[in-house]
Formats: sequence, structure tokens, C-alpha cells
Amino acid sequence: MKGLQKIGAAAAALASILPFAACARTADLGAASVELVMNDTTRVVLLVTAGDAAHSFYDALALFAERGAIRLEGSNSGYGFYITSVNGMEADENNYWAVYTTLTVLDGVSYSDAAFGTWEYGGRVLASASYGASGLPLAEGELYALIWTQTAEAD
Amino acid sequence: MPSFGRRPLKRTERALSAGRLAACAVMCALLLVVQYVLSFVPGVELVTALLLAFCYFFGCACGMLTATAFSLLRCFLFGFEPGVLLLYLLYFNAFALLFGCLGKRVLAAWVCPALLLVLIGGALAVALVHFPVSVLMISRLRVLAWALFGVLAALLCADIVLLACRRDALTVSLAALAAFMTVCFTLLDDVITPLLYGRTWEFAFSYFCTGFLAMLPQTVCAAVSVFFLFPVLARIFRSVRKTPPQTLDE
Repeated sequence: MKGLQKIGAAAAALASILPFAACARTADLGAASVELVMNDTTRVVLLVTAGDAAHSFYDALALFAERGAIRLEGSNSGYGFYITSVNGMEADENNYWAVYTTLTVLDGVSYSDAAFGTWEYGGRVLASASYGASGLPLAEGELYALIWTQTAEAD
Repeated sequence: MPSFGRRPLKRTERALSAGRLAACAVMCALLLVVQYVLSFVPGVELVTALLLAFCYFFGCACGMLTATAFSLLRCFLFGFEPGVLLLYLLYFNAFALLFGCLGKRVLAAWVCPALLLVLIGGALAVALVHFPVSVLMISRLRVLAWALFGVLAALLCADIVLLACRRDALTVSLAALAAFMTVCFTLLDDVITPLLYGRTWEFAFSYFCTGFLAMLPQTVCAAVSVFFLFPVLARIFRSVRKTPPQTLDE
């Protein structure tokens, strides 16, 4: 009986935590809704379920970092936030964090170019971003990814 | 002491040579420290103001020696990138040549207003024309362009007032030239980087457009820093040099 009580209490505790765990993988930014679909030491992938061009990929990453879902470090530059470390993996002379996205053109502006590299996820091809995380607006249905990449000299 | 067909150097000439080299070394170290310390602050740099004053008072030879040493040694702090190294070597040697020569010549009165008008036109164009850059960067680009327009317009007014009052407008002229050279730096990078890395025309145009985000604050910083720092640096370099600039490069 006591064992059943313990199991019941554990199940109740788990059931109360699960909704919060699900919330940690989704976030709302203004009119945008973003889902963290992949998160490990070498890959972070976001899916935008509702778009808002006033917010950037970096804004979504910063929100997830604030909630503890990912760890993010970097510095501000003239072109926006320069990401140097994600989930404890710090960029060095042999590796860096590359930005990829399925967003190609929005309002006549090109945001990625497959000629500079591609990465596949869930049957979709993400192209190398033409801007950093701060320059990519959140467009509905698009994927955005940070991928741990080896430099050309390290190959 | 054998002369090998050349007269022995006078004691004062040897002392000047050692003094010039020491000045170049100290200035090179100062430029490296200043660039490294301010590298954490986007858009702010004092290398232009310091090197400009140094070249103006110490001449082309010292300026180009310092510029070359600075361009090479900074790689130990910021990494060895062929494109950046080439850009720095070309730009800062041209910079040193220009301002080193200016120390021996009087700048014509029309040069500063003409340069400022060209730059003002460019700033207005960036502020008003729709550039194909990220929607998240457009407002920032326009704010920076208007800020640059404001600074350049203020310099132009100052120059006109000084010329009308028949006062020396050297500092304003040098600030205008510094702004112009800073624009040239970014434009040179817009040519070198796509060429060196074999990029397409589309990439080159995109690189040119996004380059304004760095160019605009750097140009404002160059103009403002030279305007305020040159009179101070002039006093320091005059006391350090102790002889007029015309004799140093003979």
C-alpha cells in the first residue's frame, strides 16, 4: 500500500512537471511563436510556427537561454550579436557556430545562400545564412539552426 | 673610420634616426593597445586620430613605417586573415602617405567643403534610398546615416564660418579628410573581400550594403575624434618632435 502511494505521488509530481517541460520548448515573442525542435551540444534548431518580422532568430535564442533551455554566450558587434558558445561548446580556431535557415527571400531581401553550404533537417534543406542571428527575422514555417561546424583549415 | 665612398653620418643625424625609430615603435604599440581595448566597443576607434596626427607631424616615412608595423603586428591579436592583412597594408600606407604629405603643404580652401558635400550626399542617399538589407537592420542603418549627416553638416558649417572669419580651418579639414578616408577603407574592403574569396556579384552587392552598418559609425567616430583630439595631439607631437616636419624626412 505504501509502495502504491509512493508510485502515485511520483506520477502526480511528474504529471505536474510535464506541462512546464513542454512550455520550455515553445516560446512567444510578440506575435511570433517559436518551437525548439532540436537542442544538443552541436545543434540547436528552431521552428517558427507564427511569424513576426520585428523579432530575430537571436531574440528567440535569448528567450530560450533566459528560460534555461539552452546556454548562449557571445558579444555585441556592429552587425549584431556574435555567438561564440552554445550549450557549453565554445568556438575556437578549428570550430565555430554556423547559422542556417530555410528562409531564402523575404520582401526582396535574400537571407540565405545555398552556394555557401547547406544542412538537412526533417527532409528540409537549410542554407547558410547571409546574416548573423540578429539579422534573421522570424518568418512563419521557417527553420533556423545553429550548427557546430569545422573550419576549412581544420579539415 | 672607413666611409666606403659615403660621408659618415653626423651625430645629430644618427640621433634623429634613432629618435624617429623610437617614435614609430611607441606609436605602433599605442595603436595596438588602443585598437585592442576599443575592439569591445562596436563602431568606436581612435587609430585614425592617433595615426593621422603622428603622420602629419612626423612625415611620410615614419608614418608608413608605423602603419606597416601596425598592420602586421595586429594579426597576433586579431588573427591572420589574408584579406584583412592586405586591406590594412594598402589602406594605412596610403593614409600615412596622404597625411604625411599634408604636413608639408597647405590644403586648398575648397578641398574640405567639396569633400564634405560629397560625404553629405552619400549619407543622405543611404538615409533615403531603400537598401536591400535585412528588415531588422533598416531602421538602424537610417539612424546611423542621419547621425553621419548631422556630424558632416556641423563640420561644413564650422568650416564655412572659419573661412568667412579668415581663421585657420586645419582641424575641420583634417576631420573631413579622416571621414573621407574611413569611407574609402570600407569601400576598399568591399572590393578586396569578394575578389580575394572569389565571391559572386550578388555576394559583393550584399556585402557592400551590409558594410554600411560598420562604415557609418566608424566615419562619425573618425570625424569627431580627429576634430577633438587633433589639437591636443598636435601640442604633444610638437613638443616631442622638437624640429619642424620639413627636416625629418631629408
